[in-house]
Amino acid sequence: MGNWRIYLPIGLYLVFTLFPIYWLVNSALKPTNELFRFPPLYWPQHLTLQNFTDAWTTTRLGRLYVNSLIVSGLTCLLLLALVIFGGYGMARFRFRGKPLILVLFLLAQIMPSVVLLVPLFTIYKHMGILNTRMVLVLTYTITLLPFSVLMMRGFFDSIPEEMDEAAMVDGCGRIGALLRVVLPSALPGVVATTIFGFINAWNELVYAVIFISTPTIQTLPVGLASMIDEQRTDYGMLLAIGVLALVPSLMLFAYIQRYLTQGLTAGAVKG
Amino acid sequence: MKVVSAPTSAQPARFPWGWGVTWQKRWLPYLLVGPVVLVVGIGVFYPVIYVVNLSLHAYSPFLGPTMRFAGAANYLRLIADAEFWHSLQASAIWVAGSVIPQFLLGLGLALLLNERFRFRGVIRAIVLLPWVVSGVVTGIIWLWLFDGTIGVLNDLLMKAGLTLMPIPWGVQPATSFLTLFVANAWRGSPFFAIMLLAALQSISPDVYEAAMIDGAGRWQRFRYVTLPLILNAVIISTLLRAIWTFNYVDLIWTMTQGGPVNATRTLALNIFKVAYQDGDFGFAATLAVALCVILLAFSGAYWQLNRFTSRD
Repeated sequence: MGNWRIYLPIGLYLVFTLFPIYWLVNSALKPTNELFRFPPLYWPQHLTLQNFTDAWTTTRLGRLYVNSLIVSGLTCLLLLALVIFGGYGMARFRFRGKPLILVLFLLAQIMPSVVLLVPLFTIYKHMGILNTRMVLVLTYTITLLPFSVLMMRGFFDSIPEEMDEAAMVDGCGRIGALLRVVLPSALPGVVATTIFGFINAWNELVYAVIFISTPTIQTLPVGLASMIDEQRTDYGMLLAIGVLALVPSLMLFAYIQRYLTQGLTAGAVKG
Repeated sequence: MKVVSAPTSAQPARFPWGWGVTWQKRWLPYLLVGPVVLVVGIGVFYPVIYVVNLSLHAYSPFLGPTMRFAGAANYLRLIADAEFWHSLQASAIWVAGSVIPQFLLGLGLALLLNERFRFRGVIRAIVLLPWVVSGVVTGIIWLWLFDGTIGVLNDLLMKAGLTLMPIPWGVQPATSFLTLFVANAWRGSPFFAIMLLAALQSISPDVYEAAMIDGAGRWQRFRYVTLPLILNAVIISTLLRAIWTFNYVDLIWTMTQGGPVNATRTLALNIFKVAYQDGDFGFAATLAVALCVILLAFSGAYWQLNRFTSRD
């Protein structure tokens, strides 16, 4: 009753959101002859995993996938170590220079990757560490730190300071209070912050293209982007890899969708 | 003569746990935050200084290690470079065509999601989904949807009788931009939806009640109650989104690579191409400096405009 005024536009928007993903999966599951049919089949007649097995055997998909997992995983670990302490320091203490640090973080936050890539490339080249997976881990950690710290700070802010005090009265030091009492309560926030870092690293293209030229250590987005040129004819495989690239993000999304507001306001996604 | 001894006697009371706590209060925050500040400081701000330095040099690392001081040569070349000026125009189109529809869609979504209805939580989550899809995968999805010969969108348009022949989207500059805008709106509208929804939800229902008692209609409530109260969120979100879009190359790199004939080659993509394809790092650095200057000028102007309009 009158609710159609809400349901109709929402329904239309849901189609806009979901149809492209449906079409990606649908197309990836089609055999070649159905894939290139026009008008296209809106529901595949013969579902097949052919595109997936072809992609697995004929492209370097496996390597790309493992590389992306290594880079994103290590980035998360490094971020975690820095962010727990940094976020706690920003949340619980007032100290000289804190406003300046906030400004620094915000500036770093809007610093574009296309500006940083040229000097970073040159610096890394002089250091002789170009063309390694570690160079991506390092770059991602640097660029993801500001928003991760701000986000973690927000989560610590939501935990009453009385918890720290109670732990300290019971004989914990500050760090003990953080690790034994505050951190367990902030765990959902820590996980969410880490996942945001993971997704960003998993999706990153610009640095990965320029810093790594050896095909065997490239990441998934770089491999995918280069395949668009190489394999225009073999769209089936490209779409299948697209689906596989999406899987981790979609699985993690189920967990973090509740934290998106915090994530976005901290600047968790750019572009 | 009064001796002010109160502070000294108060000292032990203020730090009941003795020296350890004083030490902690003073130095612990720096120990905790220090590493992060150091990493961001060295990792982000040193390169920024470095890029200015690089812009004064001729440097092509793929050809050889020599970095030759070139003075203002790169900057003179920049001013004379038609590609640079053209890329500014492409950037302006790209930013306007991305941010405006995304904002409108996002605002509409936020207003809808602010209403009470069944499955709101699930729908809110689904609407945000494209946000985790990478630029490259977004590009692949929309390239396939917009395929010039066998794309499903062409089929739908033909079935709807809007076109007789499949439209070759990637051939014309205007249609190429259109595919980029649609793909970017798919991925970017949720950002506005969530930012504006947060602002909407912070408005107290009492305000609306008061407006209703005063006889304000639906539009009047939106214009005179909602809009002024979310104006701050609107300004911040559009500014952030404009900055990010200006710098964003993943989608363009995947979908058009700047084509057809450089039509969609924005300034950010131009830097990427000059560095990656031409290997001309000195000039790429100069373009990067120009991009920073434009960003600063734009942000500053936008901020002034914000202060000007919110003063009334």
